Amino acid sequence: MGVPYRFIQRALAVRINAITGTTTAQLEAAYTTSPLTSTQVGSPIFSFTPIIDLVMIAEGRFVTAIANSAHPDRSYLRGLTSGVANEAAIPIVTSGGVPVVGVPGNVYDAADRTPCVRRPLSEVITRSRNSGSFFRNETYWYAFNGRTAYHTRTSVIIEVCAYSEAAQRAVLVANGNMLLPDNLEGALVDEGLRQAFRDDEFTLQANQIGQVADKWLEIYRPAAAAAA
Amino acid sequence: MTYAEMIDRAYFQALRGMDANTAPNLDDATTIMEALVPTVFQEVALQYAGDPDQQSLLRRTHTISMSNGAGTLPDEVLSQCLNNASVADPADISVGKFQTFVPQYPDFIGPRDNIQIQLNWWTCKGDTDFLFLEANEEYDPSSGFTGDLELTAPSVPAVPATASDPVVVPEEVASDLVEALADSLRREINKKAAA
Repeated sequence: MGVPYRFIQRALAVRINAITGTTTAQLEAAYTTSPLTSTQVGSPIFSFTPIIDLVMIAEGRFVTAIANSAHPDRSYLRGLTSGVANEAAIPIVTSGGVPVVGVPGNVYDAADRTPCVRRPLSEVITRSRNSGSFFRNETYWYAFNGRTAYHTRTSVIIEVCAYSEAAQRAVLVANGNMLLPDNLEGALVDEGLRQAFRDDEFTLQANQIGQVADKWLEIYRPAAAAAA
Repeated sequence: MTYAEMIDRAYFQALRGMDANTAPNLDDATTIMEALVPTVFQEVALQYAGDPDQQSLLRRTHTISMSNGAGTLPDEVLSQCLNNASVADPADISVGKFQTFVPQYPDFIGPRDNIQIQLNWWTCKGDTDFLFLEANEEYDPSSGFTGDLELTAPSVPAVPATASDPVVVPEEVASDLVEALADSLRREINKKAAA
């Protein structure tokens, strides 16, 4: 949110010896330059763009973990679908056209935004088809069956996690801030370093830091299990 | 009291004294309650029907479209209480003044004596056939009264068409409906708890 992607880039780069300069002063000057370019970042092993890729790969991993959990950090990826009719497919993009990732979240009535309650599929179908118009009471119910949404309203909107790698890469290139919460800055560095090996370079470091990255990712796993 | 209000009132009455942490929420209960509504309405109506002093509380006026002296008895009418019912012709006040219910269909279609023929009379055949014969007429299925008749009879309260429609009963009956619905739900809850 408030941390520039540049901080992750440079923290990654310094750990794989990809900050230019041979003296302390040159290293410090390159490290603190904003925005970072291939003048400050890059080495014969990892040039400038592969380090950007490492940041995006790391972010993508955490986005996937968050989007498949019920963790409150989902709010950083929050998107809303367009109206979804009963027995229609859950949209794969938000109303703004951003790709949907992970499991769907809360469901709201499209007209009055009342939260809907998840109920067993058979109950939702019974009420929504309402043979003989037997049921009169208003219910705000929904169920998912695979990628199909069932509900008892005319139309609902679904709160989802949305993520566009292309859009975030553009933010990074424009020296913008990271999408995820600030406290994950270190996590993205660790996850990026897990990927930062080439041939036999940095393999031991990547292996060790990968175990730390796993600890970060585990934050989202209990919530994911609870949501399942 | 609308249908939705009745469901809500009955739900919270059913939960009186229950542990809020173990009680079902309204979403769990609403389908059960709606499934119980027709039965509960019938039960309450039959309780009232068993007491002649209370039958008047169930009285409702139904308009029946007649053709050649025949029409359809509305589903809600308690046929066992037709002795406490009456008919009226909105266009002819004399129909309401001089009328009687004929319990037996064979008596209705038979020849009438000098006194009987002065009366407008009516009967029910089978479950739903409502038959009406004007004064000074003999029964003839191919002719007879055509138009609207009003039947005022003890009736099972009608389930409203939508949740926002009122349950059309006197307030004292409304309370009994809510209480009976709450009792029915409580029985279901207790059965579930005991299982």
